[in-house]
Amino acid sequence: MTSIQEAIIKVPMFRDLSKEAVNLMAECAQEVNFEPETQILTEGAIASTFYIIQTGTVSLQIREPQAVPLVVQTINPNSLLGLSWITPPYQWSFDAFTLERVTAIEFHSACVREKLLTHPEHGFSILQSILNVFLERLQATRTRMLDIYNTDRKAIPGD
Amino acid sequence: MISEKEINQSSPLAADNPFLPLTYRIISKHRDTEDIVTIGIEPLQDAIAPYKSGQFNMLTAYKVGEIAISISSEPGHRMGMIHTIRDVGAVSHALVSLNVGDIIGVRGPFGTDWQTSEPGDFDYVVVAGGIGLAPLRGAIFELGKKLGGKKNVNLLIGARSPDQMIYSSDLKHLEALGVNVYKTVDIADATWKGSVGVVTELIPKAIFDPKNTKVLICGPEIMIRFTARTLTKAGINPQSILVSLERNMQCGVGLCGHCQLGPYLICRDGPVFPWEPVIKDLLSQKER
Repeated sequence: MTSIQEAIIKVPMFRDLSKEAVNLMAECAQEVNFEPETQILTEGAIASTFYIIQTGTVSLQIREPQAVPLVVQTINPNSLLGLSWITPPYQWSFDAFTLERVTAIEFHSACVREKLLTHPEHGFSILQSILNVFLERLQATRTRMLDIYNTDRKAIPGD
Repeated sequence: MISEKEINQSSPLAADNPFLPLTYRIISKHRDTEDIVTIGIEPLQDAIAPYKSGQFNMLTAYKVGEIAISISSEPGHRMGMIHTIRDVGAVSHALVSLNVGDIIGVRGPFGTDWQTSEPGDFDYVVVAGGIGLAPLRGAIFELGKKLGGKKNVNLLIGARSPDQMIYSSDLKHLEALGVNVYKTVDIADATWKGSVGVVTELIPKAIFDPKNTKVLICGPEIMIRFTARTLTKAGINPQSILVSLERNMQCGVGLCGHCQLGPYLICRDGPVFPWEPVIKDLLSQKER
């Protein structure tokens, strides 16, 4: 097994992919490094690549003209960076900066999309795995929206 | 503010009667956040019985009232006992408004503990959300001193924002003891170089053997549920998970019933409970 294939199955969501599915993804991938404070994704730019972070952390941010950018989420090792490459218009929604030195597997989005289309028997399972990443992030976002650390929440009426 | 003379602290019954507060003097005061204050106290005469990590005291702001507050110091610590209080009501406001030298009443210690006085040969994952770190502080220091460098002791902290994180100055001491400290916040701007996301996202960073790990969790109950569920998925036995709960404790000794949760009285049967078999289900039901 190559280091790229190993990196793919280290992502919890990809752990159960078949060998063939992992190979398909690996055919579109290469190993890359980024120095600290490097911008990897730019809001509005074409999502031509996406990443599995191997080491280091990446900060997903949204900028405003006259304020310090807000951090949407940090992406930890063995997680997927970049989801907007799956559906048109294939444009990033956020900026992404490395917080420290990052090693990653870089995937060429068009290549992966082509594999998903031409190998539907594996493409579906790969998409299901990626859908799990969406679901996990949606649930985490909903939890954060609940603002559970806010102590001003009301008790049940009558208590 | 009440003076020492006004307080009848000479009663020989005070040390034995769980309803009579003993008098303590505030010896230190630290503002952790805009609305959270940590006070250190020492007894004027009689002291409460020795306590264990996770237990709580009833603190009296004289002429205002009494509330339950977790003990945040490590048992037997020579610098006295500390309590961390969020300013949310009349009594807590009175307590956080007091100054060094002022007098408060203390009843306790009450309730069950984290069982960290003899931590055994286990890895530990300690998960704290917001001010939920306060009831865990003593336990994590005990674990660091007893197991740091020998076993994996992990502290995962979630907070609303960086300025809402308490005990920042303790974290370096804990790391020096061998505790792996991981922090995350819900809301931050780019000046924060730490993690942003829910506390469960820190779990993959923690180092532990799921088959030989104990877990301590305290924080908002929604966070407790998600964290226990995620750790169970990671292979930890749900019966190895302890959680600390909070309700309206008033008597502290299981008589008044204000802190009832299902068949339990939190002040007497808790505040520290095993996650399974019962608490897991109670936390997802509406209380009647």
